[in-house]
Amino acid sequence: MSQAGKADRGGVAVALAALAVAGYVFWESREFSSLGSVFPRFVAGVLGLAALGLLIAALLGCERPAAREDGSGLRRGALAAVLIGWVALVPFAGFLASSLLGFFAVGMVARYEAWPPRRWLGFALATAAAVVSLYVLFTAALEVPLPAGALFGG
Amino acid sequence: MEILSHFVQALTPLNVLLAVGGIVAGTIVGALPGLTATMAVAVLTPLTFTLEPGSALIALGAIYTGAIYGGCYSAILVNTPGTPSAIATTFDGFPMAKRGDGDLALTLANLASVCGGLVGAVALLLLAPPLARVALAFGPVEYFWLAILGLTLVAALSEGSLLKGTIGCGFGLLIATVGTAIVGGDTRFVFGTQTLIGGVNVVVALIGLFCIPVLIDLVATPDAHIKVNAEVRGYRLDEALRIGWASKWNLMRSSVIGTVIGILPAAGGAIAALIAYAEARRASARPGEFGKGAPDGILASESANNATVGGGFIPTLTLGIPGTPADAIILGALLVHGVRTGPNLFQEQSAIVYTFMFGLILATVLMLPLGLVLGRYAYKSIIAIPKAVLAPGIAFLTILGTYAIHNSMEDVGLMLGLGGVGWLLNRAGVPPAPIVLGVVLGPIAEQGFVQAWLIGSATGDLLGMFFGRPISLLIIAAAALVLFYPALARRFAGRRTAE
Repeated sequence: MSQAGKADRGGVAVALAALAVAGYVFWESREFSSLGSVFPRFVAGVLGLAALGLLIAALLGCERPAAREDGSGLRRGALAAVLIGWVALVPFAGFLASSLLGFFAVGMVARYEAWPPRRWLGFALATAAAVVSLYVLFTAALEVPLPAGALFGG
Repeated sequence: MEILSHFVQALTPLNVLLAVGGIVAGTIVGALPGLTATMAVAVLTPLTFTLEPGSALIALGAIYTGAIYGGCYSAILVNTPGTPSAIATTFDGFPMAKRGDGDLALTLANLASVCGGLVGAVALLLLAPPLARVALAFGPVEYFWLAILGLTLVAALSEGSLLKGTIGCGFGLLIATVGTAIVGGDTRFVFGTQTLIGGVNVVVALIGLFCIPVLIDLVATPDAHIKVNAEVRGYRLDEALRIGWASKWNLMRSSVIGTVIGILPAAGGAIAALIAYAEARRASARPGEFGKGAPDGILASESANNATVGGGFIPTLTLGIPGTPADAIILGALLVHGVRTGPNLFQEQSAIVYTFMFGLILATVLMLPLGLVLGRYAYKSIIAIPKAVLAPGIAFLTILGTYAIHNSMEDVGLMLGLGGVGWLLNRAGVPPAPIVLGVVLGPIAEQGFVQAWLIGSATGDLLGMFFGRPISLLIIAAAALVLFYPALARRFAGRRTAE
């Protein structure tokens, strides 16, 4: 079976999600004034029609499934977890400390080869230099108040 | 002869130094995702208060020009527009970088930015008063049709499935309606939170939708995220000049589009670049190559966004109406320096104004060598940095840049959430570009539509309001051409071949 002939599961999922979003917009916009509801309702209508079209096309096998991406799902998941953890840590540990940890952790997720001690040292220095220099640039030069964190009295 | 004295005044060593410093500082700030041209101008404006008005304006103009240009670096090298103006640059810039032509893409972006910047600055110098009238001729309905013209790009950005592209664009338009409505003041789709009342910032959405999916896929394989050629090819300036010369009409058309859209208050570089991109694709003999690494796409986007700099100054100086948010800050700086903008500015304070205009041209010309050197440095850095440092570096910049927009960690959470959704949608065949198109054009489309609808209803001529105004009809015709011209051209070509 050719790729074009296969059912596009991703397309079906997108179409169902779009139908749900369009339905939600119509439901929610009941409370809005006519000025506030006309545009979202119009967009939701077009979205719903496109979603129906996609659903039919995907089920009939007329829609080509998206190409599968190679690579490690585990690393993708680990990166997502690290990013969420990094952002969640900021209110407690502050921007600087959580960024040092987050930078290090993302580096570990993206590391593929074994490192000799010298490379580890280089990575630690690069982490510290990148995070501290940008932290100083943003706080001192651009006057962006980065969170100090509850642990440090912020 | 008097105008020559203003030209000489712009060339003092101090002014040249300020132009160089402004271009370099602006380019660096513009290249960092999250830091926009407006922020670059806002942060650096106080430094100019101690300067002479002409010199201060040259510094601000150079910062602004540099920041708009700098956005192309991250757009080309990491698929994340440094500023919203560089959205359309990602469409072909990153594919070029992926196939090993990142150096050429950067040089093309530099040439196009200089060309667009010069067209905008010369228009400001020679045609400011008549062009300012264009800004006054644009009403809500013209803005609405302009947004529709931009939305026709969805056909080009859908990567094979128009239905999926339309759905992506619909998601983007709905994201743009989140928060307090521009007309009417309803609070919409905020899920009971305070965070979303102000809406979803365009830059937050841009970083999330473009950068996070790249980051997720970057760590998944050991391969480099862009192809690197072993041979040393330098700036590839000759090659870029040849391509630029072959696409001279594209460059000129995009620069004029950028200048005219720059004149329109609140339109800005992102919309100019998107519309110039759509026009370049329509006029191209090979529209199918757009979105896959076509140099013409970069030339159109970068020339148009830099042309908005000069274009935006036209209503700012002649009418006191800022064309872009950065122009509004520069307008404030002008007032601090005692420069009163308005129709009489060119008579009453001509020395300052003409010195500034020549200074803007000088800064744009200086951007050619400075941009080439900075671009080369950025390219070498990106390809030399190992993935274990590049990935956390990009992650850190996205978090830092997103936080800096409103000093808000909620924005960072929103950016990550949009990034995750964007990655899932991309896996299912919905690319991020149509979503971003909707986010950028949604507010202008809604505001124009609702205001025109109100005026048309009040005057009892709704049809005439939408379809009876000359500029509207021109834009509608352009939108129809963008949508149907490729199909018609193919049909006619097929008929000729058959004959």
